[in-house]
Amino acid sequence: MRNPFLKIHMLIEGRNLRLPLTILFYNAILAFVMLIFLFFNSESFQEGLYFDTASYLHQFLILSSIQIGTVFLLMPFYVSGLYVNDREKHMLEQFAMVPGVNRQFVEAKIILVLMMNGLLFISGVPVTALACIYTGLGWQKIIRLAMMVFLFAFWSGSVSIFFYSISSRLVWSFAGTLTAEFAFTVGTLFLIELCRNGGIAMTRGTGMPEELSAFCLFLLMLNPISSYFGYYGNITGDNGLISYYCSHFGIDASGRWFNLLFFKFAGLTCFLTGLLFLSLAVRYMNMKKTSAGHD
Amino acid sequence: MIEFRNITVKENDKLILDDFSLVVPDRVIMGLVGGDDIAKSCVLSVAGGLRQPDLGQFLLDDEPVWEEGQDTENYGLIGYMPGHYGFYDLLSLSEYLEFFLSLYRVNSRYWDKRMEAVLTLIDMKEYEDAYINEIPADRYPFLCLGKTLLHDPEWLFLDDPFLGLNGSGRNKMIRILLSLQEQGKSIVIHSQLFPELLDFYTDVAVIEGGKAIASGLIQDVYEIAMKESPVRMHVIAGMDEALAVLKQNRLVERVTVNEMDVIFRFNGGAKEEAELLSDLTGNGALVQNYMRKHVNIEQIFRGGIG
Repeated sequence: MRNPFLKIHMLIEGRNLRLPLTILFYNAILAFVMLIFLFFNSESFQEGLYFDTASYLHQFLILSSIQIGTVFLLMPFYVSGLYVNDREKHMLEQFAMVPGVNRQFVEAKIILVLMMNGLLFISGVPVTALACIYTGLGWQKIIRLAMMVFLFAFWSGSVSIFFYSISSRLVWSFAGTLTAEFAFTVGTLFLIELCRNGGIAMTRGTGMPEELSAFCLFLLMLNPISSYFGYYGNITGDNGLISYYCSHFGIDASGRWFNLLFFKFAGLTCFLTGLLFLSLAVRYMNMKKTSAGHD
Repeated sequence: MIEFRNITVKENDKLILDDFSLVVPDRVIMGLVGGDDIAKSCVLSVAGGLRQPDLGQFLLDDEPVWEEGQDTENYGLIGYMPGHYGFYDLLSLSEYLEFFLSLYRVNSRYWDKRMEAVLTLIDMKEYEDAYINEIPADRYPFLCLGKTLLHDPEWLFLDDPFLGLNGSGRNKMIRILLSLQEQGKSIVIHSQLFPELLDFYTDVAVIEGGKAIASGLIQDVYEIAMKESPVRMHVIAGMDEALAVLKQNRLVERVTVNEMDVIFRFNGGAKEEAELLSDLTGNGALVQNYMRKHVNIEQIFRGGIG
């Protein structure tokens, strides 16, 4: 294996009890939710004596949202688990002399994050497939969900890795990760609202300046939730929150081209933001050599 | 030959190394001594590539070693054992060593040979397949040293390799380091156990206030240090004559008289010291217990030159 960190981390994670326990609890939650849906479906069938799959669409959406939400929720804990050994046992100091080691180190972490999320997703496929069957959706939606999970895992993993790389105190890294996730999701929406109100006040209610609308659109694109609503729209045919926000700053989100381009770019932005955080992590670790000796 | 040339390292605006310069010749066991533990660890971490100095250069045979942006393979010549280290508990010893072999980019054809050599040297062959958390804790310094030796470096920078070792462990570590020196390796060590290791070092560098205030062969540094150590004598009779002789001698400084005891600083060597005693007795002073105050090098420099 080209990356030695990846090999040993795979060995360590494979021998760690954390991974099977995570898979167990993850699937237990999914199975519990699906069981509730099954009871609901059974009662619904007994009442009407037929299945209206379209009315069960929310079941797949709820399950997939739980999966995507889990990625955000689990990530700081999982990355913290990956770094705790390296930080507490001063492992980084033992190989800092080898050139290019920081890039390999960060690469291994993000690949592990993706692999862990891949394992979780694959282990949850039976439950997801069951939800797909009940809601009458095709297998393509599962592939789409997998792509979303990987995209969010990459984004959220990169943000976590960045904060765990720059700070030697795990608690600060954890807080930094949560703050960044909050800033990108809720913070951008809050900023958009501020801009919108400011813009309307500036033009005295006649509409928003085009530059400000473009800036708001850019902020919305930075928000990973935009990518999620691309997925949401793909399943329900409704862009939900995005249409609402776009209409706020005078953009018609119902157009075909907008739908096609905006969500693709939002996904791309999500990926590029992740890459940016990873490269910043490597850069910071290289720079940190000047103060690494006495952390 | 390794050279630290005018190295300055700051941390939070505090100077750790202040225009630090030191030359380490080949095939020595140099002990870094002095009271400034942070500076000594910092010197080793600069040499080990763990931290970059704010100013100055670290040179190996007049070539910069850790130059920024330089595609250097010099790390293969240098082995650094940090003061704080740990292990991945869930790996076996052989997996741990393979990890470092692959990090050091040692050709996989030589992995078995290198592992065999290192495990034999550190006497841990029996633990080859054991998980690291199954190995007794007093073997960890040897394991860390073994990891440092995997890529067969010529220079070893060891930050307190004796930490956590009992008497027999220290002796074993000393034997290993001596055999490494016999193999042609040069070793720079920082250890808290300085006076005990005096006979083990071939060279010492005294570091105080972020500077190397003396360095060289241990005998030479000891001689310099001895000059800083005051001479004490007990004058039974002829105190005035003794003081007159001391006043005339240009190598004598800071004479203190405490009843019948006289303490003074003498800047001469052993021969001059003997000549002074001869002068004293020749001029009628009756002298007893004429000797240098016996203190170790670190204490002399801490209270003296520094």
